[in-house]
Amino acid sequence: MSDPTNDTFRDLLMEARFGDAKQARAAVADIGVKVVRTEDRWSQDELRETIANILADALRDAGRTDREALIRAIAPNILATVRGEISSAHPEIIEALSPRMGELIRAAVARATEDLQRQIDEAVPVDLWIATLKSRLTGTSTTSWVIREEDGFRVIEAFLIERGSGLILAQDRPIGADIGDPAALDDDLLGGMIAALDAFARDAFGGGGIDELRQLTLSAGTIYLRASPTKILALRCTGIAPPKIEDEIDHLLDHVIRRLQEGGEDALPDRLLAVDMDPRPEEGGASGAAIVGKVAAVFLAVMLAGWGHFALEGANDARWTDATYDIAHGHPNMTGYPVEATHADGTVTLTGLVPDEATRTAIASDIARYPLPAATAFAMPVAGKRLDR
Amino acid sequence: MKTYKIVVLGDFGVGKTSLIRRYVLDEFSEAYRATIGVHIYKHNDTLEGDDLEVSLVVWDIEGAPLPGDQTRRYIVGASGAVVVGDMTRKDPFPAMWQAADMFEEVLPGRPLCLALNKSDIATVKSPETVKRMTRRYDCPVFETSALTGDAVNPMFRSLARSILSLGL
Repeated sequence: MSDPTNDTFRDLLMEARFGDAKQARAAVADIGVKVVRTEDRWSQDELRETIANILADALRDAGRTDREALIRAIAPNILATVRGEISSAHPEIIEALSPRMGELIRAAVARATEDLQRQIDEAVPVDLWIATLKSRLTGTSTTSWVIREEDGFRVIEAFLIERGSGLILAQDRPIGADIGDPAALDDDLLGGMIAALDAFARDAFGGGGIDELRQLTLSAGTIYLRASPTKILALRCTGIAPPKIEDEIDHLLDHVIRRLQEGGEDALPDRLLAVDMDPRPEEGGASGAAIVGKVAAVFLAVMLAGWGHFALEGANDARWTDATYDIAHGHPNMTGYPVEATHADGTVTLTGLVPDEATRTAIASDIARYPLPAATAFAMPVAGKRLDR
Repeated sequence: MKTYKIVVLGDFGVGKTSLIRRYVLDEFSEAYRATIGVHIYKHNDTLEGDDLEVSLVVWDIEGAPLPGDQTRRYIVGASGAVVVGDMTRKDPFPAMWQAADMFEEVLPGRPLCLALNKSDIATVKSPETVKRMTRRYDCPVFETSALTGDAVNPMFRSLARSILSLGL
């Protein structure tokens, strides 16, 4: 409740200020209403929306009138923000990206496998049956046999790179090596790139740098990397590496670093690849007796291999013949009909009788489905159905 | 032919990549492209007078702050540096001081030179600051333009000579 004395005093004051107290009160009340309306109209959301529109227009204008300045102004902030977001939200980013990455990787692998299979088929049609044979004998897939035979793993060149500067300290190529297109990969740029990757990896992976990045795939080949605290050994290779290659590269780096430690920087080897990349040689020189023994062993191995080859071929001829016989003889319509299979000059010939044309076609179709590395010939006339059926 | 690593440092958008491309490829690209991380270029050059051939591996390091110690790591092993500033900016010098200080901190005593870039559209606003910088780092300064090619080759060659004179 208001104090009547105060009301009277206020009216008197208003009268003194505005002349008519009633009119003054009405004006104040009107102002109050306007304030409330304004507050309602400019709620936080409405204000935000209005300002957002103004900002959007301003940015659009800036983009039109001085795009370069706008980019210069905002790009560092955007990059810093993106980096910050990525580093502070690892799990969320992985969670968001992994399904898409998984799909992409699966698709890429499937495509690569198809390409590889096609290349193999195009490149080695003649040798395919050999791979098929080896596959049958060993239980290993045909493709993997072909890859092993065709991988042609080669070290193209070796670099010893100074960590940090990326400068090439020593370089070597196997004698007679084909380096491919020399313009494709400049040595100094490769060194610089590896050093830059090393520097980047130290921050990205936390300290280790190339110590933890041991292999790099480029269009110009695969680069195997090994690092000491001051040097990086890089081997550019093509083909598929045999499993022991990782050990051999460790061995090579170890050898080069030891030489440097013993002899200083001047002791850089003239030939990095002079270190044998194949099984390490025995200590000490070979005696005359040892050489004679090795020659005898090689001779014996060749003899055994020759005998093994013929024995294997004979065994396989018999296997293919038996397999063909089993297919024909096992057909349900062939019960009681004579069948014979013989092998000569790479062809398995089926002789005997078939009840009808349809059965002969079915047998031929079954044999075609079975990938025999030999041609098949039919000498099976139609004898008609047995009378006792 | 000896090979040297050179780093090019400077703030975001000052024209580092354009300068390098002008030197290495003799071209200038109008389309601005942000450099992420580091780009590496190589250029074989002949130093006139001495008839000496050098191979410069030029590292174009991103101007925006890189995470961690990455910029310092990229500097390691360099024989010299070019510190680039954009003369069209209101005050390009704080970023140049910062880059030059960082280079000297990582590799004290190595030669560097200053490139006051975009000389085709702007002039040096504070010659006093430039003088102070050249005194502080004992380095030459070049008013360059990647657009016209002004002073670009002389700058890189001057740096190569400084490196050679130090026997690096």
